[in-house]
Amino acid sequence: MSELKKALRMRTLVSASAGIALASSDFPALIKAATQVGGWGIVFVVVCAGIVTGLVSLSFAELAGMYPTAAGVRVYTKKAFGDTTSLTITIFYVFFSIIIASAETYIFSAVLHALSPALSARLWVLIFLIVAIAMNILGIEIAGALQDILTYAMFVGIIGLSLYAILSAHFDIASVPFAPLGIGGFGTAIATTIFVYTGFEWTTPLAEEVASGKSVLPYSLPISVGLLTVTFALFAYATMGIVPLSQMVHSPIPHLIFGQSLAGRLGLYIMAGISFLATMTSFNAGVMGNSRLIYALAREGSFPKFMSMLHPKYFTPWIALLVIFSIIAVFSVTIAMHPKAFLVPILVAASIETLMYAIISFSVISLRYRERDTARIFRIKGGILIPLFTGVVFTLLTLGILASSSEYVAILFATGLVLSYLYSRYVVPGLGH
Amino acid sequence: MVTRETLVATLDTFVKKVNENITLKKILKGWSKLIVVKTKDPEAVASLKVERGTVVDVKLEDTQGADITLSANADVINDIFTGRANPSRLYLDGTLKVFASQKDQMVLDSIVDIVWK
Repeated sequence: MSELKKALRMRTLVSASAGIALASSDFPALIKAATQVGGWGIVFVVVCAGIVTGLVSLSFAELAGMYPTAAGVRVYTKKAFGDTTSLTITIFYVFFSIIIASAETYIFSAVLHALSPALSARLWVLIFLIVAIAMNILGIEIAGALQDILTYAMFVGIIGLSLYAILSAHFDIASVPFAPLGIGGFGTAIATTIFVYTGFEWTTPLAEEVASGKSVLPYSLPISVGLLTVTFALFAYATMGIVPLSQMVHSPIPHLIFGQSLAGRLGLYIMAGISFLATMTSFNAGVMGNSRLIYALAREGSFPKFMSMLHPKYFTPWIALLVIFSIIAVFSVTIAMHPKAFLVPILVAASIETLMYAIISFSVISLRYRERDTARIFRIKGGILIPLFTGVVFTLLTLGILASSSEYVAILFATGLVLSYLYSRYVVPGLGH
Repeated sequence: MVTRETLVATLDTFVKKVNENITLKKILKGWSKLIVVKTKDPEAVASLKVERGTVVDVKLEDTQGADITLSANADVINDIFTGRANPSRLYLDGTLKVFASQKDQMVLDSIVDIVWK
């Protein structure tokens, strides 16, 4: 039996998964969740979000073991629910990825603007996107040992700075209430916190690279969720004891405020460095994966054929990339023009992600009956109990975000979903290629 | 029913077409990979060694250190290499399994596309 040259080890899989999830936009999302609780009860929110995400990671593990493919969401949902539903979900997922990339673009541009205020956030958005599109068309990817080093440096940096804050003289958690807004805010806060785990499942494409029959991928997913949980719980606790919530709630860069409050300019630069690494490891992987999914959908006949054009030298789907970047530019410049609305894309993304987790859980249940005989390298124990639990929980979390956020969140969510359905139902059959 | 002999003939024709294609030679000049194709029903294995865009060796056996591994039923593999089936569609169906880096998957997909255009 042939063996792949690059057998990925557990360490690399965990770093890939956790590295994609840890993004600059996670920090404002975490602070938003903290405001929904009102105090350091956010630590328990992060732990609860980590537990339910850890449980749903088992569903991803089972599905990735059944169908080791980069086009995971398309394959799983097609097998579970049929073509039109699957295509609707997949296109909605593409929309979701673009929303996340737009939020990340704006947040990182706000970081750059904080470091160099001479240039506006809008200009930084454009500079960032030009650099990112060049990297993507050239096919520059951070992978292997370098990715491991950068990712673990980022986690060590956040955990180290959080511990330093907790042990410092400035740390004052005693004056911070636990959950002044009552237990009611916990559910919404958990739903918002799910955003910080977004992307951990994007390593399921790597299933192909470890599909030797003895893959460690199924076990790497819950481990990376655990690493993210510990990191964000520590960071949330440290932040709450250092900076008053009111100082961070309306800022897209609360992590920089935390760094500066803790250690002045040095703290600011350390957090900016971590933010840079966070964006590097998440943005590129997300956009690149998304462009390849669009390429595959175009080759399949679900998107216009011109979107499957590859760059003759770098073999990157440059037309798909240009389309994605144009949409990201429109969204992120719009956010930069209305900076108070920077949380809208984060909440839209959180609502779509929770829905996706529910769909993935229900896919596992459906495939337990439809694909009884398909080989599974990993099978969730306890029958359908865990997927059923996560399916119901994540459906409720989706509804919770939509009900508790501004109307723009629900409007964007509904528009994306309806357009995805209409496109799958009426446009795709007419493409005819 | 696709037999082992049919698969060998299909691969031979495909390799010939790849090696004669000037466009592919130009765009794949830096692409050197080992591709392993595995089929079920009937079970068969073939290894294709590609050097600078030219298939230089085909063996009807498994080879260690593959960069790309394709795996599917024999009729599916036969349909792909004869240009009768769209590999991307089969891949998104889960019918065709491709174990490779995403870049190599796209290169392989475009080879099939260009050969049968």
